[in-house]
Amino acid sequence: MNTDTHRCHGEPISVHLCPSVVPCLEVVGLSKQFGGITALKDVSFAAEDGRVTAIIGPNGAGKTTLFNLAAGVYPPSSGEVRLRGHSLAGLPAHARARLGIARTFQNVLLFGQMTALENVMVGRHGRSRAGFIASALRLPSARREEEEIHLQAVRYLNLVGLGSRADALAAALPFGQQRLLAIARALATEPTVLLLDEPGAGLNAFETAALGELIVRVAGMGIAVLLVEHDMNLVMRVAEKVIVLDYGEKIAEGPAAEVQKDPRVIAAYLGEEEVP
Amino acid sequence: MLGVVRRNGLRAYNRSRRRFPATGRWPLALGIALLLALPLAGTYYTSLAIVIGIHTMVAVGLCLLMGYAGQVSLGHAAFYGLGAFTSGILTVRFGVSPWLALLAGAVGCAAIAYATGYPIFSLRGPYLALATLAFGIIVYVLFVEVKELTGGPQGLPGIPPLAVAGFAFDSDLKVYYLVWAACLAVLGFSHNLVRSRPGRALRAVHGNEEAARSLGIDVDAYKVKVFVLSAVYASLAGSLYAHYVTFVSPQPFGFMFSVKLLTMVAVGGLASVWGGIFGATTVTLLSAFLGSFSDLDVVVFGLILIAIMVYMPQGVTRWLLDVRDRRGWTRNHR
Amino acid sequence: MAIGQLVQYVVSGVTIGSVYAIVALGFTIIFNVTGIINFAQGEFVMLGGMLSWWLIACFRLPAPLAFVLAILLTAAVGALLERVAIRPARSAPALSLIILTVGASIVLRGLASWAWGKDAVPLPPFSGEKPVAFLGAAVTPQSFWVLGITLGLMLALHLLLSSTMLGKALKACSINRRAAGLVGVDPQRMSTLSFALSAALGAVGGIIIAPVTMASYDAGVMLGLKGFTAAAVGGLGSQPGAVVGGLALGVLESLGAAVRSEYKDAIALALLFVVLFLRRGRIAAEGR
Repeated sequence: MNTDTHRCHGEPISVHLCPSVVPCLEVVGLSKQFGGITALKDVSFAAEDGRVTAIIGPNGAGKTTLFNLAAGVYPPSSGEVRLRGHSLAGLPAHARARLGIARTFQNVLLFGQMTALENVMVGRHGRSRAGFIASALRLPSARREEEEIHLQAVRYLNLVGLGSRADALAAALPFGQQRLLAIARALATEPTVLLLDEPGAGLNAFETAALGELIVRVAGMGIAVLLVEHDMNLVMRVAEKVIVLDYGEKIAEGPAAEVQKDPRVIAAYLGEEEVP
Repeated sequence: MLGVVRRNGLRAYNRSRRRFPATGRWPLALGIALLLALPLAGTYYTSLAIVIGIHTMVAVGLCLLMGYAGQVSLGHAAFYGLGAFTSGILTVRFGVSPWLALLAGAVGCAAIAYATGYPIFSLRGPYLALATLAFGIIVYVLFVEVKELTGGPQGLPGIPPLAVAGFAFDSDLKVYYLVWAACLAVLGFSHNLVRSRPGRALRAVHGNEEAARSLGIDVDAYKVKVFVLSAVYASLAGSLYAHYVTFVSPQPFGFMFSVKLLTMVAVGGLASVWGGIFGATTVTLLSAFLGSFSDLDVVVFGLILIAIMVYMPQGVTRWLLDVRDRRGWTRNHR
Repeated sequence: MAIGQLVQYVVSGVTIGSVYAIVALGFTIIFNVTGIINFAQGEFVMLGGMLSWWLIACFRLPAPLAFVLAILLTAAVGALLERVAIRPARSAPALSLIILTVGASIVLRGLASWAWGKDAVPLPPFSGEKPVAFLGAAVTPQSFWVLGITLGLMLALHLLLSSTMLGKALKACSINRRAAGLVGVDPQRMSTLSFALSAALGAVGGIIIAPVTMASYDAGVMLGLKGFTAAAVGGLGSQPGAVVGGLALGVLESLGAAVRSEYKDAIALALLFVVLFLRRGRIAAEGR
């Protein structure tokens, strides 16, 4: 375990990556309205280090909105998100990324015109410092850092199994590998929390199994993984805790097997009629 | 099966290598040799090459802004003119040393770019284009109207040449080496920048802003930084221009020059630093050639822009390379 | 300032503002149907005025015929621009399209200066020059023509879009291009049509304002810029917004010019800045 001290807009915030009483990521009374539509209503839960928390629910339940709020894409209408007990209110997305919140996107959003390696190297951005002047003048400190970035990026590519595709153009990779690349890129930021938004969508059974293994390995690194997924097999396999959203509200929380049998959850997915 | 993977990987690897074309050792050495020897061709070519060098400096800055950060600036001539006029006004009206004036111009343009950058880049697409266009025109109007400083449409004569310890850059030959030394410095600076952490960050911003933010990149700050950098390049070029021609007037710094800059960047390839030389050379030569047919040069530039945007939006150099790639591809595939 | 003077400025502001409104409407139509910002819009206005002058001065055509011909020719130019330059580049990134239309505008401008020279040329007012007294100000009859025709145009446009099949097709395209295609509307033809329509609109604007400001090869630059300002101010894509924006811009500019006339253009553009930054949030939301 290592301890890091981060700065955010000049304010020191320490984020300790050691097991503590304070949960890693907390969502407290989070609500979000878009005009007249309530996307999220008073949602609260906590995610612990090294555990996989799955967030499931029918389409439109507010899962991606939840991720966007946690990542800082837009501010909540009320409630807050806390990282190790410190409120993230007012922090823009890039500041949260530097504090340790990493994410992947439903529609991948790779830098298509850059190679796989370069994509992951961008992931190292928050952990490096060389600025315009130092880089343009090729100062020794910048060159050393560049080598380090390169090394780390290769490491993360190997972690997800894409080591051989380092110089392939991201847009040219097959879809399953693109998803893995996105995860590698997010991992390169050395996050405390990893938000995976439907990483299994569009993957075949073989790829999904590999993804499941990867998620378990990532959690084993001490990272709190939040997983939005529709693939119930994947969720059952990797998630220690499952949270169910419906119409923006949390309707169930608990271990996967329990939640699966919860009548409210069944009703949310299948409608009100009884399943004989 | 493994063989196919290896071949695919190798092709992709080669393709990625070719993304920064013509930067092997010997083309560079050849280029430098050519540059050193060029004045032997006579004063006409020397003076033309000076202008090309100056234009390249501005074009490279715009390349970084448009090609790498993916932002547009339709008023970049304004910074070029601000550099030129700052140098002119400070040296002629206030007796300031030319080097200090050059520095003042660069700092001034950096400050203006910084101040206008955040608000301007909070805009998107056509609004951004419009704002930069308006900026260019406002500055131009100021050049024309603030006659006490700029001399208005008549211009400002009598600008002293740059000098170092008594050695004055007052002949075409001397200015030529000065300008190209500066130009190569700017090119080298930019080349290093592009292949480094900030360069990747810029390309990430261009690729997808939301993803870039999720990786810790302050997108807005980066856009402003590259805007400031491109403004500084333009200002330096403008100052060199002023001390070379020893006379500035508003006329060369209007919308048409911004369009020519756009054409340079478009021809050279939006995302190619070295393409900046190619673009600047092409456009400047074309301009010189068409200068005699004064109305039609405008038409030709417009048509070139249209043609490039329709058929080769990645720029002429990339188009040529792609053609070569495609032919190579079919040969390997057999 | 005396009330008469104020009215004078307001009237001249509304007059020029009407042209801005027409240009803004042209922008709006093309933007709605194709999603493109046509930086060459101002040149259509220029062509309207220049072609009319040319037809009257060199071909001795009677004014009404010249006007109609000028409008049709400009519409043809607009359609040609779309077919030749825009359509092949449809899938290009937005930046490329912007540069492309900028290129088109300078081509048109260059051709105009090559064909007709750089001097400003006059166009006779429609019904005489004797000013009419109105609220203490002297208003030329041409101003009334400008306002009247602008109102007429807006009405005609509104009728076209809401009551004719063609108008509905255009609207369908602007709401959802693909869906429109699926129900039998040809989006490509609609694109060409929107360019032709906007060009025709622009030409009308050029014709009605030329007697006031004279026509010249470079009239299009500032008109296009200010027309786009007006459209952006009113909310890009909103027709009533375009008109309100145009009139407001014209009046503000006129009043500003009363203070410092050489800086008239700079003032208008500074206003543009202010509005763009104020509406930043709304624009960002529109862009999403």
